[in-house]
Amino acid sequence: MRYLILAAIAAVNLIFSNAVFPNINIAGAAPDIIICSIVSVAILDGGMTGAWLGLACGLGMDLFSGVIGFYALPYFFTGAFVYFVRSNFHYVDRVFVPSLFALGAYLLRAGVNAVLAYMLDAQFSLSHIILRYFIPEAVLTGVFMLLVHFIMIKIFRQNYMKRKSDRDFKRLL
Amino acid sequence: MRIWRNRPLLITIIVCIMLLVLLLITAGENSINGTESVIGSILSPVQSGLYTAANAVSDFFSRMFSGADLQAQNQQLQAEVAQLKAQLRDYNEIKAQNQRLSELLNFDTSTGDLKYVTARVIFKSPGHWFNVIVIDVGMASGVEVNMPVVNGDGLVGKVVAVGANWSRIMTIIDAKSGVSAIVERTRDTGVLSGTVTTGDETDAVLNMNYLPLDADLVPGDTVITSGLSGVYPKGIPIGKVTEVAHGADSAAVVTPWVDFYHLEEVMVITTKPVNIGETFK
Repeated sequence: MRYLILAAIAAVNLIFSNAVFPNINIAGAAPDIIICSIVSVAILDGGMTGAWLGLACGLGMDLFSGVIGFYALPYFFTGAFVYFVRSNFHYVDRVFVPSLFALGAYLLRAGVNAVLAYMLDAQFSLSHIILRYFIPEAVLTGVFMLLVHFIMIKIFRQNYMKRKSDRDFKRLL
Repeated sequence: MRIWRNRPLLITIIVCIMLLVLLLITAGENSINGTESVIGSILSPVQSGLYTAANAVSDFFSRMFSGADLQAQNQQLQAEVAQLKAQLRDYNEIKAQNQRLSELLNFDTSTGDLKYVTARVIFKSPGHWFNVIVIDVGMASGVEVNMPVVNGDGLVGKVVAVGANWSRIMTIIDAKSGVSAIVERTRDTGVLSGTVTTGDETDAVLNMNYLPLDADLVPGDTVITSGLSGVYPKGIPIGKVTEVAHGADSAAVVTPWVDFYHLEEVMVITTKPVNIGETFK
């Protein structure tokens, strides 16, 4: 059941990222719901689940875009990074810390994407995309995180979302 | 070493390296091998279904947020249809006149012999970084890499990868795209390149660089393909100049005619581009 719910979360993320937010945005800027989910799952689950969710969503984004890894790598890396930070950061409230985590994670993910795009010879003005794209979307992601985290808390309170044992957790890793 | 005992860190490093290798392998434009072609053919219907479902969700939200503007939009479209009908009448007259004059000059029109394959867009790349589309025709329909792709409004892009029944198109607004272009009025040549877009329709613009020092283009000028690259036939409309920066590094911003955010059908030009030498012979 736990894996089914995580798969459903990934599917909802992909639908929102590809179909909903391209139409509902503020001058082209939209929150990154995948980052919100990764951070929220990493905070609530405590394990590497956020990173695996990021990998699944990233591979979904990469499907048929022709470049496998362009989204999967930054999302997985961001999920893992949040896990390592979370492991050493024990105070977590429900509002400010998740939002700040999401904002920072978004900037990390976008930064990795920019490096990969540069490696692939994409032409862009870094200052333009930082002002026009990174900062507005980071802020929107931080704000949207409040809603996503609220929903995730409700989901992760259910018994079926708890990891059965440490052994199960290790198997997941 | 401590790193070997830290299992999550080790897994993170291994997965990141694997993804980086995959990225570099699949990043090559024409790196379609047999396996990828087969996978693409199998996933093509899945992709098409996903795209249709995504479009349905997308249309629902679009309608929800634009319902109030529908009447005004309808009136505007009716006015545009009337205007286009008038333009079509003019176009037919000019075409007939052009044909007569061409016959008089014994001039072989370069675009008259072009053959097209019509295709449906079945997928668009997500995110902001690349503007790539996938269409539902491939090698079976005679499509090859580097063939130009157009629609009724103008140049869309070129084929960068082909499978049996699908092709991947890099649009001209993609950050890796470059098109040799000419300003219709002034005959100034330059190179149009795409850039990373935010997804906002007003942000889908092209940068025109390498213009001559004495270029005298102005906003409103039309830009067409120059035919110099050997990929795109000469004369395909691309867009109109919206901003110009004169000086040592003359450059311009060009807004494409094609609405890349609402592409549904496109045409692949399957005729090989005419050799430049032959054109001038």
